[in-house]
Amino acid sequence: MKKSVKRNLIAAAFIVPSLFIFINVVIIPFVMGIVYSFTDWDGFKFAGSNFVGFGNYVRVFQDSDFLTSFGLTFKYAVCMIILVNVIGLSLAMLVTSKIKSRNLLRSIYFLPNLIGGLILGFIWKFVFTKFFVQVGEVMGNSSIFFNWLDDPTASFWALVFVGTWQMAGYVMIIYIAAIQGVSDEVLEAADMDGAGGWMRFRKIMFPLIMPAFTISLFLTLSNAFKQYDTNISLTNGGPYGTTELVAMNIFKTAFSMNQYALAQSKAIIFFLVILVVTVTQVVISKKREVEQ
Amino acid sequence: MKKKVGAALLSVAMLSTLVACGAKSDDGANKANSADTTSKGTGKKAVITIIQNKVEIQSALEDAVKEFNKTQDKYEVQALGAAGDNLMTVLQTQFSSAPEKAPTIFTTASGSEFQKYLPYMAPLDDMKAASKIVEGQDTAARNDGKLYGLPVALEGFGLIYNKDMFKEAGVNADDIKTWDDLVAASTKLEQVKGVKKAIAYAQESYFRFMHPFNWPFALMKDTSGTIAKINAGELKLQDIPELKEYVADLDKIKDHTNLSKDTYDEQVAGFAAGQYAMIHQGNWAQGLLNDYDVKFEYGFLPVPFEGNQGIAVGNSNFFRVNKHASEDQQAGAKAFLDWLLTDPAGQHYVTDEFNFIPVYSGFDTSKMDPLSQEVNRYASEGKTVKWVFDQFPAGADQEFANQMEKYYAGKLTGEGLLEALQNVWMTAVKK
Repeated sequence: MKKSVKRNLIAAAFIVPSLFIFINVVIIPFVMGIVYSFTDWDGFKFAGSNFVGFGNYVRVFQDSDFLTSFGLTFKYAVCMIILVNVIGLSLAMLVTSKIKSRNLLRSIYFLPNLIGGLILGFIWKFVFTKFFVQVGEVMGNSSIFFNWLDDPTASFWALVFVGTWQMAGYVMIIYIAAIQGVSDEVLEAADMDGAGGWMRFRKIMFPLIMPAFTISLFLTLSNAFKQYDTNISLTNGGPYGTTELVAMNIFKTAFSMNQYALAQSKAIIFFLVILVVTVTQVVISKKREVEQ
Repeated sequence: MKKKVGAALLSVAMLSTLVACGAKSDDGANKANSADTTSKGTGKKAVITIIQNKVEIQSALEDAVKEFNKTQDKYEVQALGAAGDNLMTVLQTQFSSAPEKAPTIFTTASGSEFQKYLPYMAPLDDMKAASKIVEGQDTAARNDGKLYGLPVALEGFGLIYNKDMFKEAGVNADDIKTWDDLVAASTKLEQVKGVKKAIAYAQESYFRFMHPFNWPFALMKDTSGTIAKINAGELKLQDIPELKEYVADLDKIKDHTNLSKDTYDEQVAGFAAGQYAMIHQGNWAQGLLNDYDVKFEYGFLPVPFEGNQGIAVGNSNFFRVNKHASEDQQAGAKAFLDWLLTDPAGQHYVTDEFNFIPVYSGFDTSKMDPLSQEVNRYASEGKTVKWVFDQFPAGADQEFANQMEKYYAGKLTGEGLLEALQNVWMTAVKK
């Protein structure tokens, strides 16, 4: 008995600090937020606020800006998922093949992920607004080298581009780990049976790295939905509010328009949507995973 | 043996980072976010924190604070990082979590910001500086007769123009009396070598919309009455004659402007480099112009709308003292502000380092920089127009600016712009 009590104590000693922080910083504010979203809280003391039931939630669905932002964020998330995973996987395959510079390439491709989203946004903002324009002037009237951030569609793709540039390296690392976990014997067996490159990838490699897909898709999905710092530094919602993603809309509702309770309701809805989408994705992906 | 040593080293390393981070963040949190409330009875100096939004004066403010701390030993003042455009957000989070730990001295505008933070402001009638405020400049900070703020500076905006370039182009600034004169002058100015466009606006919401649209509203016969009618839904922006005329004028000048694509920095830099003949800015840009070591002469030109001959002058930024700070801290805050605004050592900072135009009597204004002298000149000649943009609906400035951006991009006509602005106005008022 003593041994198991001691073991439990040791386990608790390691868990309790993190649990304490988690409860204080995540759980308690979350519950408080749910309560606030049912009131007309003005952002200062909670004391004088009145309960308004689902009033805020009704207003959220009438807010056309929020719905537009949500739609835009969905589009953004879909583009991001496809691009990040395709590019990440390709880079991972490249870097685990026999080419000579693969270690160097690994570092290079991962580097963008180390730069924070905010700085990245500012750097690319400079590239799009100043560098592109200069190159466009030198090359004559170019259809690629203009100020991308002046046009709503181009701005959207600029956001996708920068987001992909940042996340692809991270996702690449996950795929590398998965690819290296595939045992060589299976691949050799496939080779001997006469499977070509593409067949080998589709039927053998792909199902065996499914767990990595689950993880990467989940990460990309949740990150894409929550995108804020690159959004604010690259486009700041511009031009004229057309690239405003959900997180930025919520922040604006709270801090520019001083509608704190409404913003809180938006945040809860945001949380629920991400929850549903990511859980669905994980459940579906897990079903397709193959045991090694 | 190796494993044990390794484990021991690792736990020491982890513990030390924990301690170091804990200590650092404590210090940082104390310095930056909280006022020391344990000063009473422990013999320690009361700590007063000051936060304001003018990034141009931040380092000079820190020097002023250092000097004040040296002259006495009852209080210690600390300047918090300048919050720039985010001041309202910072104040919001500080005051909603723990008002007694929020900055002791903070600045807000008048109008809706004043009303919002009024419960946190201490009355300042007993201060020395309060009795020296220039006639009429304290009304915006009074509520129920009591004074809740000290005006920071007199500020003016209009068209800052390059006097040397005007001479070179053969344009006489005094001859620009109507908007058409301005358009004609712009055409001439763009002939000068190196000039990209005649007029430049900046893209920040205040510079893109709030200041430019101050003109038609301020030059109306009854601004407050009109705005009240708009808020009540009785009057629409697109039906107001002054606004229709202003938008028509914007149409005429649009091709001679930079379509407000530049940031504040780029706009002033372009002016200093001779790429723009005029910029729509205020005297707060003096600091930037000094940094660029501008060699040509410059001054203010009135925006020739509806026969206007003046520049827009106002003082909508006020120093406030936190009512929830301790007695000692409030006394210290008042001591610092009195030093800054009435003691010659402090006043030197206000006029020479911050480049502010003082709104108090007892200042030596003989060594003011060019733009401040211009503002003073217009103010003393009575050629001023009021700042009325603080009556625009709160928090809608970025939305308004977005519509301006659409207009400049050619997606909205003048009429369309007014309709779009009307929609934004009505949404912002409905709360």
